[in-house]
Amino acid sequence: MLLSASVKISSVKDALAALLKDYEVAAPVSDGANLLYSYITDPNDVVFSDQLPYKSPKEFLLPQTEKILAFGEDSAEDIQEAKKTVIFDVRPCDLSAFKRITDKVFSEGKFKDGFYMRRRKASATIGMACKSLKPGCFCNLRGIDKSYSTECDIFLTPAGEDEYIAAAHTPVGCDLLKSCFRSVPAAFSPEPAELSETLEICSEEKDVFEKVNWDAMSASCISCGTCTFVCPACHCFDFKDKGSVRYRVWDSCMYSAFTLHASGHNPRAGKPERFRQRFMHKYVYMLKNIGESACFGCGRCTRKCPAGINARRVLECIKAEAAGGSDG
Amino acid sequence: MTEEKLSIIEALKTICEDLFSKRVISRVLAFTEGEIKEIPVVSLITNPEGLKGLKWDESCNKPLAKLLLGLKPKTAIIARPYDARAVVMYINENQLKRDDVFIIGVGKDASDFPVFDAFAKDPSPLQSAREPSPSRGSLDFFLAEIDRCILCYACRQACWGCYCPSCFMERGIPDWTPAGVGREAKIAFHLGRTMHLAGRCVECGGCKTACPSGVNLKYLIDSLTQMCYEEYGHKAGMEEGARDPLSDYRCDDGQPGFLE
Ligand code: SF4
Ligand code: SF4
Ligand code: SF4
Ligand code: SF4
Repeated sequence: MLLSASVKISSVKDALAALLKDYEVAAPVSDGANLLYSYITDPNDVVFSDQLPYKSPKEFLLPQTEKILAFGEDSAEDIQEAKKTVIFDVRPCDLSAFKRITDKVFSEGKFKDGFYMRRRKASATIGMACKSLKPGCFCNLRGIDKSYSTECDIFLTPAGEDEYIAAAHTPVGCDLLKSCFRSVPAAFSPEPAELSETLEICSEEKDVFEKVNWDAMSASCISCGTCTFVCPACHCFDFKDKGSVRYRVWDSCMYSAFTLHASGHNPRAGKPERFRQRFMHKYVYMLKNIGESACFGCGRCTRKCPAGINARRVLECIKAEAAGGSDG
Repeated sequence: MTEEKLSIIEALKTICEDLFSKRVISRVLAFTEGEIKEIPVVSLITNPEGLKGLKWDESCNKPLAKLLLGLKPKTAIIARPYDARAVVMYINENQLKRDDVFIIGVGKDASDFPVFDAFAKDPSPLQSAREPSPSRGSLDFFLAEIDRCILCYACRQACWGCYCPSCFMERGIPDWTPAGVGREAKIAFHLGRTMHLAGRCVECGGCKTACPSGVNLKYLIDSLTQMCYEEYGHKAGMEEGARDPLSDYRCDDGQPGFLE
């Protein structure tokens, strides 16, 4: 922590107004049906609550559609430099997904993704503590402290009735805290995290692949892809060419056209194989490849699954079946 | 849980246990209790043990019939009227055989079910889900819903009627879709889907209940449902062997509709 200060809750809207002068600001708003992160123009639209917006804020770093190339008559002019953005009220689960998954995948591997990196560099994140676990949340089993995170520029922790303690973790965070928030320096030492033992698949890849009864596990899934769209850590994408423009668009392993070859062959022939891919990619391959599972227990997939598939339960079943002696 | 609902669950258990013991069925497609009270779990129960967790209340409002596709016979489905209608549609569209499914209807009145093999009375069933059409400012309403849509296709996946192995939205030749996830693509998808459901919608509301974004474009389909009823007296999935207005052509048709 580079700096800590106390901020009156009533002054946060003023701070957002100040930020709006120089930045695009994304924050939780209600669209009537849902709470979601959206660009705001008026700080009064921001919803302050303990609820988690139904989609993660990943779209501000990895938009659902982005133009990445154009030639001929279409110009590449609007493939711009990323806009300066502040993402407000990001919870510890999502902050970890940015830091430990998308950052690693798009900016630390063999292939660097300029589009993501430009946006990430131009963005600041203001984190916020969760007061409670919402139905479906299991961040506590995924090594995430719901009350505190250092994986952001500024982190806000409620302190008493009408104030937050703001902890700035980066130079950018310090500048923002000093320039946009009315704050009073205050000492802060976060409470130790209340974590449970991490729920992780420990078996060999081969055992997970072969022993788990994927047919039964995926039987009620309707391949809707909702789970991957709302997830902060899912990041698969596809390309689509239209005329002389190439777009990048989100893809989902739960779709039947995922990994479909031009020949018509698909190495993941059906729903069980796709379902297996979702869970193995998250909890086995990612762990092996980058040392981190691509799930932080935000519970969004569980809350939105039309079939009522509970990610934590599935994870527990996979763990048990893969560790079991007999062939599933 | 109310007494009423508990007795329905008991009735369903008895029916299913009997079916299992007589080896009539190999599984039951039903809702079971999950860890989160408000979120029922869709389950394929393969033995009497599994019936313990059966759930039946207003939260069990997702259509189930689509999961019957591709299952080896014979499956029992705990069906609301719309599921029974969807089964009839599958039979009419040659996707299922009547004998492959054992329909356990749960509803207010057995006459709400076009077909069933067993029936349990639910004195307080779900209300029918037809949407009133927004009369004023409907373009604004439509666009607001379109803007909320994230084009995930969960509505399509939930719908009994969207079972094409490759949806028009995913076809490359010809490529129907505007690139990207803008208004154009979303409008193309929703209007395309609406037309494909004309006279086929069984009013399950699955497209609405599956949508993560709370989009309500079912009213578009409802207006076609209404039209098919008014013009042709047709209600989808109410009769085995019936032809739908859009798959039936008669030379003496006095109302050629939009082909005119
Ligand atoms: S897999 Fe589910 S619980 Fe885990 S991070 Fe993704 S949406 Fe959240
Ligand atoms: S949200 Fe549920 S039904 Fe939809 S693809 Fe994911 S697991 Fe399957
Ligand atoms: S389920 Fe909802 S968000 Fe997804 S495509 Fe359908 S209307 Fe759009
Ligand atoms: S269009 Fe919607 S309401 Fe009609 S059958 Fe399909 S999912 Fe059900």
